[in-house]
Formats: sequence, C-alpha cells, structure tokens
Amino acid sequence: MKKIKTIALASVVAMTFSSCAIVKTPLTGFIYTDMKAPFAVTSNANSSKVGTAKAQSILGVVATGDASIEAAAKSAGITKIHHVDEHATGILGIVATYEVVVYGE
Amino acid sequence: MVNNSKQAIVRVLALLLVLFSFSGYSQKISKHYSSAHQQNGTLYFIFEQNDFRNSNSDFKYDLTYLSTADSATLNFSIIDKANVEIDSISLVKDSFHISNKSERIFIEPKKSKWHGRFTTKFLFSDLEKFYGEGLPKIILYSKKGEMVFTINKGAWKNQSELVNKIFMVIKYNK
Repeated sequence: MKKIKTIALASVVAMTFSSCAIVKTPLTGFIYTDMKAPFAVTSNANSSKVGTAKAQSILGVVATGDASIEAAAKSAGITKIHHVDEHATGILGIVATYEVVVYGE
Repeated sequence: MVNNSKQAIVRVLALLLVLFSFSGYSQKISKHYSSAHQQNGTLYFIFEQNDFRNSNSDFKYDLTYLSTADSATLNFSIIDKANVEIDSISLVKDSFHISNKSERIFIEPKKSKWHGRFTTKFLFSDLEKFYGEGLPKIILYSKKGEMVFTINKGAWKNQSELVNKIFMVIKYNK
C-alpha cells in the first residue's frame, strides 16, 4: 500500500512539473527567469529600427503568439536585419513569455 | 533534529526570497528597455506600453531613440473591429499638445479584428515634457474621426516614472 502511495505521489509530482510553463533560454531559473540572450547577427551595418514579437505560455498548457523574426521585423518595418536578441521571462512555471527583438533598418 | 531541519528549510526559503527580491529590483528598469552601441550612437528601445485605453479599441506603442538624433520614433498598434487608417497622432496633456502625421507600416486581420501598425516621430525634448506630471491623452485621427485613449492615474505614475528613468539613462550616457 505504501509503495502504491509513493508511486502515485511521484506520478502526480512528475505530471505537475512536466506541464510547467518552461521557456527557451540559455539559463533557466526554476523560481524566476528574466534573461536576454543573443540569437543571430548579420554583416549589415548600424540599425535605426527595433521590432519585437512575443509568444506566451500559461502553465505549459496553452501557448500562443508569433515570436518569429519575420513578425518582429515587420512590426517596425525592418527590411535589413542587423542583429536579433531573445528575451525570456518566467515565473514559477506559471507564466512564461518569449520575445524576439530585431534590430535593423 | 526535526527543529534543526525546519530552521534550515526556513533559512533557505528566506534567502531565496531575498535574492528573488533583489533580482526583481535590479531588473526593474532593464527589462523594459534595450540598448545597442553602434558607430553612430546608441540605439535605445523602450518595450511595448499598453496602458492607454479606449472602450472600442486596443492601443499599444513602443519608442526607439538613437542618442545622436533629435527625434524618437513612436511605433503604435491599434486593434479595432474596423480597418482604421490613422492619419496623425496627438499627445495631449493640460496645456501641452504635440501632433505629427503617422505612416502605415501594415494592416492585417487579427482574429475577428484588424491590426493596424503605424509609425511617427516626435522630438525627444517634447517626449520628455509629455512624461512629466499631469494625466495625458493620446488622440488618433482618421477620416472616420478621432479616437481618444486615456490612462488611469496609477498606470500613468508607473509608466511615466519608468520612461523618465530610461530617459535619464539616455541623457547620462550622451
């Protein structure tokens, strides 16, 4: 009986944590994540415009948004990309956001 | 023995809480803007702000500023049931009023609504005045008339303090 309880508890814990809102980032904080990181760079010179695009996940159950480079570039009318950064935030696996920041002209 | 382990757990949790609080404090401004150093100056970007409200439409804007330029770019989105072509935008507050023409970046469908994205420019010195004291309004003009967006006192306090701090960072680094 004790073994069954332990297995059931372990299963519940595993299921709970496997469905957390985990966001793509080089370093992850279990309690809190707020991280900017490089994504891509090109040989184009200076940038004068910045565009962003965002996607969000709630409890790892629902994830929506368009965090593509194309969407970010479009939001600022960028046609020549200089570099791209990513910005990930997450709180206790409840809410996570992933944002792409495109610099260019 | 049990008391000792309880105390240890409480200490670890307290330490985590303190570290978490400090990390939140230090990130307070930096997570709202980005800066990129270039040959022609530093490019600052203030991430999307969405506290201005109107009962019919959603409004969001962001700011881009190159430290060697006089003016900053204000890109804004309007999500509305109708496809609205915005001609110009005004930032209004008490006796302060600045306006400029806006240009369309794109208009596309978003679920059952329309997402219009536009761009305009304002002098950096004018924007500094806009983020001062007093409750502002943002007015968008189209052929169909004007759309007024307001902000509540608490949200404006947070937003203006945040943007002013970022403006201070920009000025100190000029």
